[in-house]
Amino acid sequence: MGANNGLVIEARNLTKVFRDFWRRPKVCAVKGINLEIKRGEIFGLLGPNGSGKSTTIKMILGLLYPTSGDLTVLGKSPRDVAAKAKIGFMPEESYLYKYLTAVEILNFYANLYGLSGIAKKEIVERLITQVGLTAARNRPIGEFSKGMARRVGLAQCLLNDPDLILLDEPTSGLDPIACREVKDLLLSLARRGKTILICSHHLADMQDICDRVAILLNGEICTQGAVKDLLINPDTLRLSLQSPPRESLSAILNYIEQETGQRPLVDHAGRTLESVFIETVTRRPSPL
Amino acid sequence: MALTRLALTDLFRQPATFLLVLSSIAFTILVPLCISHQLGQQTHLAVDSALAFEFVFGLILAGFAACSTLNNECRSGTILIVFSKPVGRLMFFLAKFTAVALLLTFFVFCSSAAALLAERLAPRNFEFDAFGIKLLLASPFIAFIPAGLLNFRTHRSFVPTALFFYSLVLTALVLILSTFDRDGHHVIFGSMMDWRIISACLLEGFALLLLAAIAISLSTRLATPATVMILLFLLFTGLVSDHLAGLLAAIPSAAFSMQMILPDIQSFWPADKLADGGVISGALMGHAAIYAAIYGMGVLCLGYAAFRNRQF
Repeated sequence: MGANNGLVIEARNLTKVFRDFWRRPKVCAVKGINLEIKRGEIFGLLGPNGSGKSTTIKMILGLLYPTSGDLTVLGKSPRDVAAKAKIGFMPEESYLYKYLTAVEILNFYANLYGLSGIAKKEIVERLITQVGLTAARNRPIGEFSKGMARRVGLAQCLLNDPDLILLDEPTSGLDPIACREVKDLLLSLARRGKTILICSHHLADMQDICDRVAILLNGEICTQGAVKDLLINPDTLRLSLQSPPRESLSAILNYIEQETGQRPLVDHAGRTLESVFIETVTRRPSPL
Repeated sequence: MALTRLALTDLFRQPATFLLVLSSIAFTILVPLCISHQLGQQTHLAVDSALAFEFVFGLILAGFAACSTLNNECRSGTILIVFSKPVGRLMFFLAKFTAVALLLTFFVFCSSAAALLAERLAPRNFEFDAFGIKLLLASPFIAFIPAGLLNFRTHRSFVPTALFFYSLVLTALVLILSTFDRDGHHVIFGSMMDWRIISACLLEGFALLLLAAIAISLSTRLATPATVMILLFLLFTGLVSDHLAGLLAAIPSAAFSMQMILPDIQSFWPADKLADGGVISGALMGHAAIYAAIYGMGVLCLGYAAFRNRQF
């Protein structure tokens, strides 16, 4: 694994200042952040646009150099080329060569990892199937929809069976079913011991899959912790029941009010729009 | 290797490459056919214009290809994914230069064939080479129809296939016209062609590779218009570098500096050397190749220095 103390990413006082042509400070995109991401963890970087999420990911990849602070990735410097053999990255936009087909692009990236022959062919075929691009495999990327291009982006990110996966807005542009599939895939990868760092402002997606999150604002981490700890409200309890008869419910509510002095709120357990959509679409037979 | 192959594939699939290569061939062959000025200099004009077109279109192609493969990759963001893989910057930079150099080699090959055809097809005393012109007119159809059919049947990309087929057709045309005279009679192979043109085109090819090194170095920071403008400036000042050095003769250090900085394009301009039946000697070719290699490597070192610490 190559990481120290089980830490895959370790950042100490990480700062990035962008400068203008005259080397004067223009904007401080990341201000002294501290991060510790452990092996097998799904970590979410949340924050509004311009909060420093993508800058942080680029520093982790060695595409941007920190102005100050220490950063190690898999126990090595982010600029270590060899360490990148264990990293997969899916950027925010689908930065792909538009004149190449999906298969050609994946073959190219596989070559960069030193894959060749049958092993390369098998991996490319498996990923093409896994991301649902079998029918469009030989079409140029320039003809793809945004969602299809995102799938190619995800496939290239998994070519090397990476130990560390960096995803910048992975569900952006995907339909709800594809979105669910991606989230399930990420959960299964984490179960296999892969470390995943996700940048997003799709909070529902992050809540679904992240173990821990950090919220960035103006380049600083405002909040950091386990999702279940951040979401819990220790002063409030929720009781869930299969809808009881009206008389029983009334008796229960009266009892609780009598014992606690508070009248509890009663409503129906809700479903997410995502679950309704997926149920509707999967139930209806395809017109094709 | 993978980087070079991908960059080359990407370059060959770009419609702009197709248009630039075909335009160069079309201008090279067709302009001498349209010039009414004769004075017994028609073949001389055909060769001169062919060499000029090779220089100008080659320069634009070098600028376009370098920026398309490096600068556009930085701007569009595709480089982010490449550098997230185990790819060193030096390897990436050299792979891009190699791809541009290979594209220009292909261009020089096509230009050489076109220049040979231009010289052969140029009218003599207002008499056209009807046999050759008929074959020339048929050549695009022979190349592009199979490429179109392949695209239709197998979804193979049309642009690189058509370019490849057309280069084969041009070669075949040169070989056919080498064995027939202007009336379509069989002659000894090669007797109807001015083969000196090949070494002239090759000499220009060295200059184009030198310009490609400059273009790829500039494209680490500049976009296509700026790169092409600087290349044009270097081409024109390089062509008159001796004259400029003469103007600065009073200040030896300035003259020396200018000669060191400006590429000596004059050494690569072969038209004067071909005049009056002259030939381009092996020594001249060797000298030009060594100069292009040393100058090119120096420029590539500067380009890599500009690229090495670039942040994305």
